[in-house]
Amino acid sequence: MRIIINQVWLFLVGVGIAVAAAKGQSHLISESIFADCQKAIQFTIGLAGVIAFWSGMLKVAEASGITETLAKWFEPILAKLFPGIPKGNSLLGLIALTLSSNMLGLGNVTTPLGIKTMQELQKLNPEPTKASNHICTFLALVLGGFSILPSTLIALRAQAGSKNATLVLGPIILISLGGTIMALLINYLFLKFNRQGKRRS
Amino acid sequence: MIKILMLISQYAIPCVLLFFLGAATFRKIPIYEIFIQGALEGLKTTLRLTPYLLAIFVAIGLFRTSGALALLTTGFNPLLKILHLSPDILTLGLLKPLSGSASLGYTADLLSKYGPDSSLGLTASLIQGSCETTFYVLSLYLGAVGIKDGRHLLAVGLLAELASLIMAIILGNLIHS
Repeated sequence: MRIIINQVWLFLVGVGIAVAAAKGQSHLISESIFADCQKAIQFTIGLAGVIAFWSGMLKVAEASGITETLAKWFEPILAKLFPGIPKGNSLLGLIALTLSSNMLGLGNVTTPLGIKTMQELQKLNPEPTKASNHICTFLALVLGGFSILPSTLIALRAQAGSKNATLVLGPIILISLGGTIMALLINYLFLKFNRQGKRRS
Repeated sequence: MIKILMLISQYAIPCVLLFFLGAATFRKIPIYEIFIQGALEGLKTTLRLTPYLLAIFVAIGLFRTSGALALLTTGFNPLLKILHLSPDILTLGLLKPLSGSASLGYTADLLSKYGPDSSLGLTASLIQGSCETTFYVLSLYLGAVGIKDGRHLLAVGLLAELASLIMAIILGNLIHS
């Protein structure tokens, strides 16, 4: 993906600049860059507090053995998706925590949990600059976007004056479940037929 | 059922926190010191994330403000006519994998413009609720641990998104009628 992400970035930036210039609105370029740099840093600063808080809390949870207990509970399901993670490793507990908060739509909690999970998964990764099979499966689960409670969206619909703001709940559970199954399936196929990890980069 | 789910979402965080604190007290762990250690690690992580976030924010911003996104959507117009789709839905579908906040804002616009219970409003809600922000998630999660080669993950994210998008358009029209 190294090449793809480089090309995507080049495409977005390059085409953006070219279009603005072609329309004779090149002043938009520097305005947009300035505004978004500012936004990115503000966003990161906002994120820094939550990530620090939840990283602290997770450290407490780990030290008290909570993630290990969770791992034991979820082992029957998750061990099938993540073969080869040593038994008794609290990693499966972290994965379960991340996925549950993602399902409940707790975005502010999911990001710190997910990053912590990535760091733990990375410790088992033999090739640190390349995503391991475990990392691929974990991210496929996240990218599938399984959601049982899109609370922000329901609030947004109610605010817009919907007569039935929660009407979309059932379909969203269905669609996001379908999306997650799709993501897992594609990931499974890629891992199966690309076992040697033929480098396209 | 829905009420129960709403209650869960409201009390999930306080319950989890109390549970953490209870377990830590029970195990007699120096909770404050461990919290500080973890929080420091969290801050270091955020610092490492900053360039990735900056790169993705600037790229998406340029692509939108310059009008390139609108131009791309216009290019799809003939196809949209055949499929009886609104260009707004395509824009949302293109925006969603790029940026969560931008697509949320766009959904809010669409809901107030067409009404949340219209066919388009419902479809937009379904897209917003069930698709994931692929580029953001990948650059954040892979960036956090310094992975440069994400293998097939972009394909996984975008294909899952496409599947969800198609299901959302079909179900959106179904629940409206």
